[in-house]
Amino acid sequence: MLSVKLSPMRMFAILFVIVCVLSLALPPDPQSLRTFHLSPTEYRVVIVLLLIPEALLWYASFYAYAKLHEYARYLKGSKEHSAFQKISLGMGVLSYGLIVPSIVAAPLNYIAANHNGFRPTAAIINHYLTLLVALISFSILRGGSQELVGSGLKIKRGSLSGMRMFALFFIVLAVFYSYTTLHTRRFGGNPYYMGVFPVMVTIIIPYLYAWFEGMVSAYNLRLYSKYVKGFLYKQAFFQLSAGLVITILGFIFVQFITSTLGARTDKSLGFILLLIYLLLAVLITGLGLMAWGTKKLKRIEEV
Amino acid sequence: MERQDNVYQRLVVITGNYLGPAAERFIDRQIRGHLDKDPRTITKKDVALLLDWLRGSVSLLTDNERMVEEYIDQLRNLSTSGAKTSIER
Repeated sequence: MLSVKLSPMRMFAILFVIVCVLSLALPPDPQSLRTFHLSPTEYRVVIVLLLIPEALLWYASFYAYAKLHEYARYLKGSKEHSAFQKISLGMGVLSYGLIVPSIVAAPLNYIAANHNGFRPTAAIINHYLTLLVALISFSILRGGSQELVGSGLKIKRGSLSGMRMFALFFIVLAVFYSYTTLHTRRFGGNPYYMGVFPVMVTIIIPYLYAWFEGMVSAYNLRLYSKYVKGFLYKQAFFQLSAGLVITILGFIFVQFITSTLGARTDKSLGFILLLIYLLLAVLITGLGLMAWGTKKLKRIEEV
Repeated sequence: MERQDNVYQRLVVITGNYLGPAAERFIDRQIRGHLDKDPRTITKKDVALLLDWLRGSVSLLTDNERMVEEYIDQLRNLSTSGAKTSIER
């Protein structure tokens, strides 16, 4: 039987074509046209304007994942192999998780546009799919980063100030996120189509847990990059970890914005586009840094 | 006479100061590739033979020539004397 090996970059190309076809071929949602006062042509222009930076983000994400995947393969037999494999897997879930929900959302939103009764189901599936990606990817990344820190590294865990700052940041994020989500649910037309209790138990708590896992991964990676030996290795790993930290925090921010501000319709289209572009720029920087650092680490294994 | 395994260990320790966890894999590749030997059987004489290869390989990873020379000096010390290098102490 003929088997075609689908590399991450090939998968990106296939998925991107599917997104483009679905986004441009399906007729626009009349409710969105009314909300943003757009004609169908203007709507498609906006879709293209959004697809360009998104394509850049997806490309950067799959490229970084491909590099991490290749690097993890070089480490076979070493004590860091399993940790890097998990980090690469977590990054893979994150990369696929960026593009697959867009593919799933397009037909669901199309059905919802034609059958108003389906709108809550479509919204709930879209919300849970994004949540699932965050939960799975950040948990795997946390596992990998934890393993890396535990791979025979001598770490001084005396610094409580770092942990205090981490705790304070997370508390502020949690309180602000809970308040904004519940406020949006009450005054923003209930974009979750659920009661307060289900929103708290199935949206807020799982998101906060996923973000906590993501932030712990970022913390572990910084710790490893601080204490790992080897001047050249440290330099390369610093770039990889800095990129991963920016990427993880960027993703948390994107999810935070999309599940709070993104659900509100009282913001202007220009404001939403500006915010999206800003976040995408941060994420692309993080992913680029990550790919650059991984390439340097890979080079060490090649010479 | 110094044990061969000890020479290998010291070679990995010195390289570890530059390449961290990748040092052992790097040294194994260099010895197998350029000397066609089992890495753990390397002698001081072999280290001397490997110096130019190691200089070339590490130069591909950094533009910092001073660092490369510092690394090679430590390996040269290892190949010529039994005394531990400053970085090992």
